[in-house]
Amino acid sequence: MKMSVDREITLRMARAAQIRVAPEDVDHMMDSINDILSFCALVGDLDCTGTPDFTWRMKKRPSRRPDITRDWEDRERFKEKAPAIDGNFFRVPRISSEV
Amino acid sequence: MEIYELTAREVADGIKAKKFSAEDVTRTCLARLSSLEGYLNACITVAEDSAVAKAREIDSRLARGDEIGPLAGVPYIAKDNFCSKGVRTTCSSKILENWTPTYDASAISYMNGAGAVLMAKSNLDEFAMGSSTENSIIGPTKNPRDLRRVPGGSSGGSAAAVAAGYCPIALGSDTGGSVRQPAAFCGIQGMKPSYGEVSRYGVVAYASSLDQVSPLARSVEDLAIAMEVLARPDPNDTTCDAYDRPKFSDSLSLRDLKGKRIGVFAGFGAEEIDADLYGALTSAAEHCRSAGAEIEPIDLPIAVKYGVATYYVTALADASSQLACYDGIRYGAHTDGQTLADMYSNTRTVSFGEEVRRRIILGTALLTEGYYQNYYGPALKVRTKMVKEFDDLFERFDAYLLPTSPSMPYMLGMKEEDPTRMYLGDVFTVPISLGGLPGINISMGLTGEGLPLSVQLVGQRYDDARLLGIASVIERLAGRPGIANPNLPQNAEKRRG
Repeated sequence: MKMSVDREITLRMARAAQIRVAPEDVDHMMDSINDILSFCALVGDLDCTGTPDFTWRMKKRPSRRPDITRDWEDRERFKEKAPAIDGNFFRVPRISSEV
Repeated sequence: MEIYELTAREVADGIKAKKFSAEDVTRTCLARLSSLEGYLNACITVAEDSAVAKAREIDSRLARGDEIGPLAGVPYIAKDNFCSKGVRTTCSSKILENWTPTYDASAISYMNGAGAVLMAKSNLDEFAMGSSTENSIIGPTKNPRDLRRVPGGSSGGSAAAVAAGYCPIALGSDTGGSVRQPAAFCGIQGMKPSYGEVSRYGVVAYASSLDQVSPLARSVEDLAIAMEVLARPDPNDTTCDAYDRPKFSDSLSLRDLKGKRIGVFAGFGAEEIDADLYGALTSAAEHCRSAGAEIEPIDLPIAVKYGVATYYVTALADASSQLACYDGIRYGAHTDGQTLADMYSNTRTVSFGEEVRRRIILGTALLTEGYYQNYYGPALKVRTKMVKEFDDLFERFDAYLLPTSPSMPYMLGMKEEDPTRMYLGDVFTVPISLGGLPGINISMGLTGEGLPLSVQLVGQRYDDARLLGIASVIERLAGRPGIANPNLPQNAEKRRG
């Protein structure tokens, strides 16, 4: 079944994706999403009754890695990439519910 | 013949025979890059110092009589979505513009371990989302066969570099055709291996259920050598199959195609495919017939009708999940915000490009209630039916011939306003990705205007070695591609004037 998005749904999807859409860009984003949704609705046209969902088959599954702590690279190098540091931890802003 | 015109095997043999040193080769290739890069814009980062140091190390090891690998001293370029320890890895995105990984992707480790010399990181569409290599923080790459045209994408930088003679071999990633199509547009060979054949560990994901590390070269033999280096089990990637691979280069001993059955795609007429590319498909079929193969027309009704829609639903849903890790904390760019949610959305809004933002939002929509039931769920079932269509045909055929692209490389800046029409350029490559099948773009020479012709050879999953053998027979009859016009700078000056 072909579906579409309106301005409100476009903004809700953008929020879920953690992306802001400027008010003047909402219509353009909505139209381009609707173009793709309209084209992709084709996937509903093929009769797939009784067809299982796709999964990858493998010849031989890889063995699992041992579930143990591995040696770290230089911890200081990772900390250098953090936007802010608090001791040995990355510091992040409060989540909204705690503000 | 200049060193930069040699294949990877010829370079490796020449170094072992001490005809030239690894340092000579690297410096010659760096000079070639330097002379053309102002016109092509194929590379984001050139690792000149580390490349020369590695080449010297190869020469020292050779002088000491140490064992050196099968690609010892061969310069290569990797698409800038492969993590390379100490070398910036941007994915052509502002969000990773200054990000330098602390580890190598498995494919990079394997190439380096085989003695290959990482010379540069190549341009791509941001996060591999595109088909023209125009959507990049460093601007578009140009096609070395015709500077007015796109090189294809998203591995357009790697394809342009190999075609122009920067290096004999390069790494790309192919999600829905991102190596085969640029190989076709630049007139070289490019292979997407079976899904699960090569480890994806350390390759920045676009769509994990489709992405495959894929080599580009100017000969099928070099593709086989690359596959021997790259294809092996890797416990760091749970999608990388643990079976014992065959020796890919053994398949190159195939002299003819007697006893082989090759299906030739006949689902589109000459009016739906560029006339020259339709002619290339016919020529490739004739080469197979003259080599002893039995040729029969085939159609792929499910793959052709539903492939592109199924691909975009799958890839966009994958992408929205995979790119969630760019949160402004763990990797790359960071934009402050008052709350955690503000910081996430500020970072992602400012630092992702428009096409990436659009694909993430769309992928998020496809995974939400209602859209999932009408799009993602059906796409999973259509994908199963598509694989069955391929499997049924492989009961009768050893391989299929299809076009790689329905059209020739288009002009730079010729933006397609309708995104669904733009995506239809992928009609022959995405079904192969959805099926996890190996596909090789084989160069079929040039048109009178010097534009590249090509065909796509597709095999059964895990039949990569046999496919390379068939491709090598076609290549012998069609001719191996040479490097792009050596007079490129002069031509470019004229065009610019």
